Amino acid sequence: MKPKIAFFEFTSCEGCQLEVLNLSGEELLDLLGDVDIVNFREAITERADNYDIAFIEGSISREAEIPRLKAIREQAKIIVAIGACACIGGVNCLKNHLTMNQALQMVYGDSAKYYDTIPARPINAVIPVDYYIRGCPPLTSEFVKVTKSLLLGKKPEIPGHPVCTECKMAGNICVFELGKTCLGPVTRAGCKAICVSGGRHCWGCRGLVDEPNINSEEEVLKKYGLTVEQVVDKFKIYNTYSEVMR
Amino acid sequence: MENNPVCVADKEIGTKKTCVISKRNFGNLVEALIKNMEVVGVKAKKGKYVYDYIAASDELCLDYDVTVSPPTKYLFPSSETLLRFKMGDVTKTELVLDNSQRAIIGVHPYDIRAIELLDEVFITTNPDPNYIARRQNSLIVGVDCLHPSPKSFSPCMGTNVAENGFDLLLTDIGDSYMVTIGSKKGADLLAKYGQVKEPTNDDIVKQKVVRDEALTKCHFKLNCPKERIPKLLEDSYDDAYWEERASTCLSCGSCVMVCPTCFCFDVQDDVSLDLKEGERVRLWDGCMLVDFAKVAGGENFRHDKTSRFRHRIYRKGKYVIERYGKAGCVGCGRCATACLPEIASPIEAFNAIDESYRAKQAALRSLKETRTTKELYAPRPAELVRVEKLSTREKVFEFKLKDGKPLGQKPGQFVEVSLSGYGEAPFGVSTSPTRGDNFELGIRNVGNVTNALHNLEKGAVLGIRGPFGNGFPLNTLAGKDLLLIAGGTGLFPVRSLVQYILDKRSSFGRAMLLFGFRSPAERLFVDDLAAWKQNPNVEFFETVDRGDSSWTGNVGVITTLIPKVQFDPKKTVAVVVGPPIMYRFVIAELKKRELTDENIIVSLERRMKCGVGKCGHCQINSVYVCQEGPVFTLAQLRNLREAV
Repeated sequence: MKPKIAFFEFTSCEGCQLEVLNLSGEELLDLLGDVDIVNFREAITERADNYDIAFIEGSISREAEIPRLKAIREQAKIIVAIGACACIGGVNCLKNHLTMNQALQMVYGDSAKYYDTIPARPINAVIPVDYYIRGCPPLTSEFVKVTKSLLLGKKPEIPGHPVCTECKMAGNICVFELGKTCLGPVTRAGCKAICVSGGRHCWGCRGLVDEPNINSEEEVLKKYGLTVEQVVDKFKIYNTYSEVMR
Repeated sequence: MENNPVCVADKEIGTKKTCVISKRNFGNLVEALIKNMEVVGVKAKKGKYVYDYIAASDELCLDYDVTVSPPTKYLFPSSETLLRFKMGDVTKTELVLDNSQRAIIGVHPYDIRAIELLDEVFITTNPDPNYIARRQNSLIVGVDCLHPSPKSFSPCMGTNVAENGFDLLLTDIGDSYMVTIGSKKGADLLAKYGQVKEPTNDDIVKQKVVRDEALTKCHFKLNCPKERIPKLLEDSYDDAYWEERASTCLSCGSCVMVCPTCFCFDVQDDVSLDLKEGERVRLWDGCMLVDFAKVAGGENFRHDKTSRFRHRIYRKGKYVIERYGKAGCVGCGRCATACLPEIASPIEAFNAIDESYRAKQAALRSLKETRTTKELYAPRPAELVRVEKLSTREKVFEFKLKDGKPLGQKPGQFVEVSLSGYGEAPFGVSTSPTRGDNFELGIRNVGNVTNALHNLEKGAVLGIRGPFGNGFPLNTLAGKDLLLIAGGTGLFPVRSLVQYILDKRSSFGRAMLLFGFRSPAERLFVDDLAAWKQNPNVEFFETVDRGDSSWTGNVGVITTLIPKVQFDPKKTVAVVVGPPIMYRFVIAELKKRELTDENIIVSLERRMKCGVGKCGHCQINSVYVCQEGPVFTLAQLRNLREAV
């Protein structure tokens, strides 16, 4: 029996699922040889409520999402959070710096009264999560790697070290040396330092490592010219929900 | 697969023989190489220098300072497939070797020295087929470093020159390069493509001049002979430097990822999506990374950044040279450039350790100037402000130091009480520092000093020395569920810990108190016991070995209380204090409940005359209880055969 897998989205841009669809045709066919996809709004119209592995994209930002998420947990044997919003709350949590009324007014103006919202949170704030595919968006290759691990019954190995390690492996010139700043030293690797390799810097989308030396990173950022407010703003973008920001 | 070790640089032919090649002719030689093999070399990029593929000789930039990452990546890449396999059929495993011909151009001598280390590691013992394939097929063209990076200190490590390990080595002497031929491969290459001439005296002088000039550009000085570094490190394992320096470490691994002498790796399997075949891949790994020494069961054998930081410096200065006979650090300075908190440079560590060592030695030597601690044996006057009987043989004494200062004790520390004419005796302090400046000592009347003490009345003035010893490890206990087990007078030191926990309740998890006494009449601090029993913030259990007609509580030895409490051995630390006989049984019981040796803490009683680590009475094997103790984890006692 091939395992049945399903994709669900909550508050998100669905970009993570799009990234899954960026698999090459050959890879997609290989994947379909291993699993039955029973629920994937981004790709197929059929739907079924019988699945083993649920990949969940998006954060939780409305009351109504909570029972829906809990029902998925009841059904699935394995829950995999996919993408920054589901794994760490992501950019949706930026609104947590406002009151919920302010947020509604800002987005919906006069129509605010028709909507409800709660502070955004990652899905593990609501249900237990088995595995995480991090990033905004995650790498297609990491989705493949985790899926293969699950099919083999292995625990997917996600690096515990920061982006710097992979960035140096890629032979990149450190963005600090080029006069810019970066969250790579405290952000969990696994992305192959894709942003720095592409000429940008790390925004922290994969969340913080388990033991981030935040004090030291803050000192480094200040040494390279950032004010305390700018440092905090840098962390806010993806990591508002993290413990260090609370 | 052949596993023969191969010596790549054939040292017999033409070693040290030199010639001169014009820069134009060298360019032609590179063009010829490009037609025949993959050529990599040093290029400028965004104001820095990197090793990259060379498509035309004018892309090369050979007057560089240092490259971002070292050329060793062409011999030992960040990721390489070791073998391919078929799932479920181990006989279908095949080795994967990279046999492509490659020229590496522009390698500085310090990097050549690093390659010599890798040769030793990967060729001499257990020859590594993947490394050897690359090494055999690589042509190494070195170039003297005449414009060293400001962070470089290779002259200090003696690695600014290379005698072997290259095929050709260039020195820029203006319009030409002086070429040192390092191998037959290099000699053949020159014979085939190079138009060279014999060096003139002028060329030889020029080479010496530019090399000497380069030496003057090194900004660093190693303050001890480099041969001393291994011993220096050996003697400095516990130096405060490591913890202080590592406090800003980001554990980001940048230092090890840019290091030419680092070669640690991880091995991972990657399978195809159809789950039918796969590859075993070797990836760079590094001892500075948090998971490097973590095993599947969860134990991390180098879990704190101090031990990782120290381990790396020890590799660079001691372990590698002792194991392989080659420099563990070649002074390229890349780690110092890459390290954002600016703590990675080995020469700074070596010099700091050297300085600290010299300071200790100087203190020993300058006996005359040494300031004595006058008060070492002279007690501080203290007034006895209260005496109260606790039971038949025990009293509690409350003291106030006459200088008006607090004692400054940690729970679990002890003091020496000094009574002129009778002598001194050590006692654990029974009050927490959170309970004001006065302090209490519970004392059983057993000897000359204690007998005299028991005869004293309120208002007497006697002497106090201390506090001494390490006390309970409050940082380790913070956040943990605590199981405090005390028998008899073991309650005296434990009481200070109970008070401390109650006063800082939110810093600790559950507090389970298990106390035992021989009989109801011998119970101590009965008011406290009654209060704790009622206190909802602690879980209180008490027993007596033998009851009497009035006793309605538990009867039985203290071990009988342990099955009454439920705790999670992963989150719990036990603190055990009592008579020697109690330890063995209690510890056995705790181990049955899966508490590990790291999580069982005991406070040992020993004869302590001086309290300052000199008289020798309290010594257990190599340890002085009054200094390193009296509080130990069982793990610490594992090698102290006399302890429990």
